[in-house]
Amino acid sequence: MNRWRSSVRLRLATLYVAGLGVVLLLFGSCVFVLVRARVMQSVEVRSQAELARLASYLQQEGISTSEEMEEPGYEPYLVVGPDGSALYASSTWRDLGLPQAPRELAPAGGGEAREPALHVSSLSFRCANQDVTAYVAIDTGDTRRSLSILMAVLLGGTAAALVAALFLGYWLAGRALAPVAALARAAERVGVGDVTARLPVGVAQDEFDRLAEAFNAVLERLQTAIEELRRFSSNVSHELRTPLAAMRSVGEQALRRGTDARGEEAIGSMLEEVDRLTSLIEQLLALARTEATGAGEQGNPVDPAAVAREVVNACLVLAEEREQELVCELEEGLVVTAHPLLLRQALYNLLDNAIRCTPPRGHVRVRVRRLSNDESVIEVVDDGPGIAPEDQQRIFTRFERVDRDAAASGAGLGLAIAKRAIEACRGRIELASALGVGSCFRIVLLHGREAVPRREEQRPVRFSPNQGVSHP
Amino acid sequence: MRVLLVEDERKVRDSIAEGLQSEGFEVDVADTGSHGFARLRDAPPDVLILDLGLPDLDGLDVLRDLRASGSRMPVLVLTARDALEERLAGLDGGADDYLVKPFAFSELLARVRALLRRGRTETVMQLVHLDLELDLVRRRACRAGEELVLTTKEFELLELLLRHAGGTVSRKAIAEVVWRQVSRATPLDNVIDVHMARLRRKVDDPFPRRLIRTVRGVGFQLGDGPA
Repeated sequence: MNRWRSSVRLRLATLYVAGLGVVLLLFGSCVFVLVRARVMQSVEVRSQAELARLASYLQQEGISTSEEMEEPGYEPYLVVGPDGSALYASSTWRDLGLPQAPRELAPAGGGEAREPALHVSSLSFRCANQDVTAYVAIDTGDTRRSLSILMAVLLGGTAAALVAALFLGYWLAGRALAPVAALARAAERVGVGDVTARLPVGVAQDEFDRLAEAFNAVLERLQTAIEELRRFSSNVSHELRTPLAAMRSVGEQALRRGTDARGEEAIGSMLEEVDRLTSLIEQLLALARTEATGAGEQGNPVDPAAVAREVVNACLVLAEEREQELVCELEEGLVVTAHPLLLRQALYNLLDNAIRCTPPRGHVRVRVRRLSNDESVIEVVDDGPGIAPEDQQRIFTRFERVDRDAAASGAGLGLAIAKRAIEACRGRIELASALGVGSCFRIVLLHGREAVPRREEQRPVRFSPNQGVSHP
Repeated sequence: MRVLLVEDERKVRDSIAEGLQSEGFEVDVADTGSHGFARLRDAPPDVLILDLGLPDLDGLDVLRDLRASGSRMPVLVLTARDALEERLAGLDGGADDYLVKPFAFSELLARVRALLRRGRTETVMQLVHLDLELDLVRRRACRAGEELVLTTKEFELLELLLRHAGGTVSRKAIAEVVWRQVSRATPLDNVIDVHMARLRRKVDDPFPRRLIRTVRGVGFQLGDGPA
């Protein structure tokens, strides 16, 4: 079924064969019906000629009921009197074992007898002052065999043509779709971040060449845009950091020189704002970089349980400070494709968010489990206030918060960064939430190809994994 | 010890120079790459602090020329760009260390001192500050003879403070050293604050003198602690 949906080529070939099949069957039926009608008509013409000959013979010779009546070399025949009784049946008629009562024969005027290989026709005429009806039976066995052979040839030919058409159609569709397959491969390469991929453009200037050209033009613009964005964020980063560095440096030296308590308070508060601004810029740049280049590198095989454990360990103190229960349920041995840094950052942001949004003494749960053969999921579940349905999309856009309390919830970039980071890993973030029940953020990632996870570059976590945590 | 500071931003240059002078360094300054070249040639310093974004020359070129001339002078690079490639380019070009702007002065100071210490191998087994002792081999901490029960992170935090006793340690430095944070996009400030609060409960609360001080807007400092 999957193959069916995924292959236009197979679908085209099959549709082609189905169409051809209908046409061939219609054509074959028409040929057969026409030939058969024509053949049967010629049989009827022969019968009528035979009957006319018989009638003139009988009118000359008269009908004798005696056994000795001459057999004039006619086809098997039967003569019936006006009362319906048989006047004479030829010996051949009798040999064939045909009935001698006309009502047991087919309706007068010709038609098929019960015996399928015989065609019986009749003719009424006057003979020796009485109305008689003569019946002639013509053997149609040969005709029928010929018709059967015709039908077999038609059916067999159709079937053979269809099989040939299937292969031919599949081949043709494959040839016709080859540029599309090349297009898809190039698009896939772009999908994983290689915007330098280009499609080969043929010289034929056909539809596919034009498509390839259009596609290449889009890629060209995309590549320029990404390079510009890279340059832009580098410049922005320089232009914003330089004055911040000056503020920081000047402020610190003022503090070092020593001022009174009020001056210290003022400078300290200014430096705190410099820090906030710096952190905001870092986050914005991280977001821009993830969008522009995050997808540029292929992900590595990563053990999601290891990443989850590391992030949970880092966040444990935050939960403890709020007297929350932070519980892990980690399925070991899974391997997903991700950028370790981006994944860690996304999960950190989700968990930090969950801890901040859940009231004291609430519960936060981090779960890693296999979702299907292709995907695994890292879930962050809390029993906080939940997020209203109308807010659920909005919170993933930058600078959006559910509560408007800026001090309590940061700049509102955390979830946006998490979403971009996971998308750069070719995964997705899902949110299920109900007001008053809690929220569940899910990071869904594709499984890595390698069975054994490569140890990502990280120093060992020297953090006791169950330090003060309440395990279920 | 002589420091040459090549930095085009006047405010940054002046304040860093002032800070270094107050720390006992002899500071020479240059505001352009060519000026820096001249100062390097005329009066080679013990350590060079080099901004990469100079108006006339790329700081990296200055660095390459310096290394090409065979100098092994310690160089600390300052940059306002943080793209990983640029950091790597800086280190490949011969920088010994780098700092991304904006940075805390304490950090600059710590790195300059570390560069000057380089080559002199010193394996510190024990750190002592007043009545606080840290045994780095057995990873045990004592204050006034009493053993402190610390978690790994708390121990590393205290070790960092002790190594910079008297100076200020910024949250960024803590995130990089204790949490091995690479990207600054993930703010660890809350995590650090909680750990610091716990460390204080163990190190300071039971004793009359409070050693760990918060320097607002700058970071944390292990001081003499007024009684």
